[in-house]
Amino acid sequence: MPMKSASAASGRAAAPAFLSEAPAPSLPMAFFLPAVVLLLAAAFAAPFLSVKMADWTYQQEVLALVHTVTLGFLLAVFLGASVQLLPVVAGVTVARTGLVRWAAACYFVGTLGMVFHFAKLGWNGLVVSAVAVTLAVVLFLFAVLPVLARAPRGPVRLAFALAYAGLVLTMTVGVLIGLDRRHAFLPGAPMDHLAAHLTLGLLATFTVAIWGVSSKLLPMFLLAPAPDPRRQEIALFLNWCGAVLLATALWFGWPAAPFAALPAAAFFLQLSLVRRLLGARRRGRIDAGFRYALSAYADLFAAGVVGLLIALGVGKGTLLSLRLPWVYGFLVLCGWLLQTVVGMLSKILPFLVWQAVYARRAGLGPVPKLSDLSPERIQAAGFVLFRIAAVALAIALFRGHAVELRAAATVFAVSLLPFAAHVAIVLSHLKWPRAFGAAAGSQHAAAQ
Amino acid sequence: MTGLLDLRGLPPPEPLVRTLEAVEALAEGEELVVLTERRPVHLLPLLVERGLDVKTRELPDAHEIRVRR
Repeated sequence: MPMKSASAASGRAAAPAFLSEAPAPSLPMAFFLPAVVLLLAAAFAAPFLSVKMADWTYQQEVLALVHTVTLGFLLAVFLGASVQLLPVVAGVTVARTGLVRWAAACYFVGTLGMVFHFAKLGWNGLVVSAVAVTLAVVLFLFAVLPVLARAPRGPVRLAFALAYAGLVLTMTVGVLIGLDRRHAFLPGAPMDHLAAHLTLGLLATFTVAIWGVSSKLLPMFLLAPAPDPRRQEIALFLNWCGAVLLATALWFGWPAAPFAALPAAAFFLQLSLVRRLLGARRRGRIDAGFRYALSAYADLFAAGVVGLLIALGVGKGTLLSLRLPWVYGFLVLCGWLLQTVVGMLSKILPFLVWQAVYARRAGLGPVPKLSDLSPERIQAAGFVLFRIAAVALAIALFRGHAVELRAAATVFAVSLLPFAAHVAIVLSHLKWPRAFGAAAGSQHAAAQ
Repeated sequence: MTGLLDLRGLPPPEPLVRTLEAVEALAEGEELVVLTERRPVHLLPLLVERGLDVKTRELPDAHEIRVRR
């Protein structure tokens, strides 16, 4: 293998090899930090919608809440993770960082506008806000796709490519649904269109994105060999193609159950890869961040079972047909996606902050470990609370009583506070870097 | 003189910390060979910033970084 080289003296000539590929932490932070704020806003708004949650799913305030989570949190974190991870995988930098920052600003303004206009049912404002979000995503892709193109073939590149394709499909369908509200030109039932939009967003975009990020993040932090890339790619393809076919079936009102077989097969393949990775890991203890991310697979499995019941028409014509979509939506959106992303952010943010604050001090004096940035017990308590709250809210959504829903939604919002505290404590190092004395340093060395 | 530091199997950012600690002890002309599991993208610019000559290459089971002061 040829060697790449660089030095201070020859730094300019060799810079592309070493100096530029590590992304500036502030770039992904521009997405991550507003995302956490919007997640908390959505969580604490939910208890006030308990009466709505006792009714059916298609209501303006519910649409506003769901888009706060999907656009405000999930997609924002995915965009931030893209600018963090892709340059590392591709070995090239994001050249247009200014464009990414403008995209971030435009994205959050558009997202807030969409949420506000969903809640107020202002269609003109909604269209303008959706245009802002679309423009932001186009700007973002314009900056990031050249990096993706340089990435070596493999699961990460495939996952990001499929997730971006899924995102474009989801947004296109969303815009069509919005226009259909004004001009009624789409064939089929509006609720079927919404189900297709949701399937594209949750499965064809966010799920493939999570599997792609996991394929890099899990082996790195759990010290395990990377899973078989061929199997990972098959799982990604099966899930993406299956989700698109399922969305097509839902859109046209075809029986959905046969089309759900492909995402189901992808899930079991992905599960086997994760199990193998866990079995081969050299790091025995699984910390709270990964407990969130790994336990979320149980919620995805439960969502699959509920989704199958819906597809088979269980409870059709009864109250059950109103409650099951709530449970399915909650399990996929919060049990699977939100929980995984919370877990991954719990790992990524300390890493970014450590790089920004302490990396340059390493070797020159004592520096903290990643786990020193925030107390582990806060995250551990947050995980336990989250699991209890998620089960309680899923049951409350199934039963459909407003009082229970308000109580469970409040507990769910509170269960995110330890995560918020973890983020705040980690971020406080940016403003107030801690001094780690010699004693702390020697303890650190002894602990290794 | 050349030293060897095998940092495979350590979680991030331990390889970065241990490498930067080790290079501070390098005398003029001395070389350190570091083996890591993955390409340490955050470490490499810090080594260059500290005025060190750095060469890297992929091995079948590791990433090799040669650092010379």
